[in-house]
Amino acid sequence: MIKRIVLVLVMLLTVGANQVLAETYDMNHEKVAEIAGHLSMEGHSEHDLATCSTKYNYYNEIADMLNEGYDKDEILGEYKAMFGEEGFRSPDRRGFSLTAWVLPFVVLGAGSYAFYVRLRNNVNAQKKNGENEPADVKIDQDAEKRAEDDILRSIIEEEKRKHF
Amino acid sequence: MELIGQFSIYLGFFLSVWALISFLIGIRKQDQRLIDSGKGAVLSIFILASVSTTLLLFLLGTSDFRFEYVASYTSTDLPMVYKLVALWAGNAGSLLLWTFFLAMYGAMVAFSKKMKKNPMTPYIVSIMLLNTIFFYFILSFVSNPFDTFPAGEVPAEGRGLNPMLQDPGMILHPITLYLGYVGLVVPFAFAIASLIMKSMDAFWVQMARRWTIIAWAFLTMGNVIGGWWAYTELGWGGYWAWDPVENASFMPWLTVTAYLHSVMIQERKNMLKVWNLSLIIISYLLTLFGTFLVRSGILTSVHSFAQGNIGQYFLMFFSFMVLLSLYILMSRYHLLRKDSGQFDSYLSKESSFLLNNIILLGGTFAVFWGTIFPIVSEAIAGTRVTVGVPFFNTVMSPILLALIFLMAICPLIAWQRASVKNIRDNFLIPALISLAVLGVIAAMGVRDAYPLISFTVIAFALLTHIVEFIRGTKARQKVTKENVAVAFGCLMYRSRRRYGGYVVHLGVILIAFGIVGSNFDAEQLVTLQEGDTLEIENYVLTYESLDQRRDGLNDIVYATIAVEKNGEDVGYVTPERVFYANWEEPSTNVAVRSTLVEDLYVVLSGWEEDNRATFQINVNPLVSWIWIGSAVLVLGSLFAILGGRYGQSVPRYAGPQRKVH
Repeated sequence: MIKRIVLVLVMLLTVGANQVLAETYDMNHEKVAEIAGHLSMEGHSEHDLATCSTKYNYYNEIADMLNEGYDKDEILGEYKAMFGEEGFRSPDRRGFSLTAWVLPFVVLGAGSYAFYVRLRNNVNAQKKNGENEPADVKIDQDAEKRAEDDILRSIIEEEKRKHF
Repeated sequence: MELIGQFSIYLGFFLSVWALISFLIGIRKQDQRLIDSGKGAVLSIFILASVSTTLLLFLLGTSDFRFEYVASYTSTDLPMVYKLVALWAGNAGSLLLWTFFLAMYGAMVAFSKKMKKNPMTPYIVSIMLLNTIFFYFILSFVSNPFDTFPAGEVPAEGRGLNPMLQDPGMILHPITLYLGYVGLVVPFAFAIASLIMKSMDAFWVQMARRWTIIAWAFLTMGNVIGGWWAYTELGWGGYWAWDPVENASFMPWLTVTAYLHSVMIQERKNMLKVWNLSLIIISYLLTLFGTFLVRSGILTSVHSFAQGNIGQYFLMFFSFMVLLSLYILMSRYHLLRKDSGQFDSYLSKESSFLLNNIILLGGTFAVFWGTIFPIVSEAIAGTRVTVGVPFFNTVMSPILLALIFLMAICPLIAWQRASVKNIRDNFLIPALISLAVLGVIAAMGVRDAYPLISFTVIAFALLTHIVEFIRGTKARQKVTKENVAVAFGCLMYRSRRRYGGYVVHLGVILIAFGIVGSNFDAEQLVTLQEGDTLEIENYVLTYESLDQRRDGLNDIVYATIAVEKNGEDVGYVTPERVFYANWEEPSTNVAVRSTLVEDLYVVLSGWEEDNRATFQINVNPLVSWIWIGSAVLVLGSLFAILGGRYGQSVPRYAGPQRKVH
């Protein structure tokens, strides 16, 4: 009998401790805002929380789900099941929607590669031409204070333009 | 009134067509009389557009509800300033304003002193006239601001202006944006004219420089004022929401920024001719594309301008201009490739500029792709997905960060060929100090990689620019033996273009600082009883009372909240909700207490009968720096084109000679 009472007490204490330790969420919680940040909320996501009742309801709903023990992925999964990809503020990262994420960087990569190729061709051509250049020209191109000279030149240029 | 309005529009259309025909025949027959006739028509178009615009302003100001446009966007109780700004609140009025600016720019180019005896003038003005004709066509036959109600159907009262638009932002945002948008027609016309004339040197670049910077500065102002308006006007999502229409004005801004950098390489090294022409053509086409987006309503946007079938006309005109530009560019491609300069090394100012261009264009593509992706996705996958803030923030953050990093490098790197020593000498100290900044920020408790990297890169960019100013001053002192202040002042003034550009960079750096900082915002939505206090960050807010007052026909409910910061009283904020007599939806006036460190942003959300009120309270760090940076950026660009003796000089035209000009 005593064993049973102790067991029940231990169980009650465990449940109680879990209740005390479990974090409670309200709509001001960072985690709520973070999860809500993924949802389009039927087009209300760009509205202000203070004045948009739809957005307000979503925030409360997310806080409730967190309090019920759902985690972020589960909550987002719930919305996914309800609304599909259209319920979110950004495209999926799979299927055709993946192109939304990838294409800008593919284009940027292709542009950078094209730039590199042009640069390489130009530099190689310059190197060939430069083989016959006198040594002092090469030295000059590596002059220490080239950038400072550049400023000086531009000042002199401006002065020349002004006076002549 | 109706007759004058209609007549000014139709005559404007007729004269635009006449001017274009007389220019075309005048060019073909090299007949100066026809060219002069065309120029006269251009001036008349400007006068007619001024008459139409002034007349519509008068009708709006006098609440003449016989006119559909006036009845749709004004009411008798509207304050006069908002009656007048209703000129650009609707489709027809804003198109009239667009046409007015177009006619103004056309007349300015045609009668500019600098364009005197310039054989390019008739070509340039003809290209601009193509646009004028299109806009007059729309005004005449599709969306006429002087359409009247049939007799007996004239309403006694107008519908009024959307309260969201009754904001100082409405006065400045559309005007500045339109001046920027329309202004891009000018460099585009210069570029196309140079192609048609086979004038392949940098003359058009030099002549169009001021026009481009002016358009770019206005575009910047338009975007920033729009952001500021969105920030203070609720429901529009902070200061930048990546709305399709915001994106539409951001894209040409990015491409013109790229152009303003790459033309320096053409001017200095005769390189990138095709690239520069392409950039200015793309910029102009993006303005048309943006206008199509705004007017067609094919994408959901907070800027609703969609009306009837007007989008079709814009799409047709856009397609026509794309084909025309492509044809002209391709037909001159072989000429452009001739005599083009080359890159000397991997590491040089010109290569870093071009890399900056690629990143800017990559960013433009990312924005473009994100903007149109809902339509593409619907067409291909059958799902209309939302592409919102999380997408753009994720994709654009690394791109814009890379851009700032390059911006830090470009000013200090040498032209033609940079040596390792050059790089070490220029970048070592800024890099070390930036790393120290990184350590300080990390010590302050910031652990996320993105803000750590961003603040470090921003610090690096700021330092390299400071180094550039110091080096310039020192270099000048060496030559002139002036003291530091005089040397610095003269350096700035004498090299306005160069240092104006650096001031623009400083503006961008400050904006980036504000944007990164604003991500550390704190937000609370709370319901308080009178007398309750709330703590958020280092603020203590005490909700004191809820009151009501009357402003004209409108009722305003406002809360008074006492603010303490770090234990000190700093005053009150009074967030409001406005209830309009002639508009169903109330609007919210945010109370913003702005400092250089952070903004306290309070919204009155709702209230109960017992005066309990719900507030949304945000503490947004560093937002002020976005506005300060924007002002610096605009001032820098204006400084770069400041007049003076040198500014008055005209580059020499060396292209094909013509009898007419």
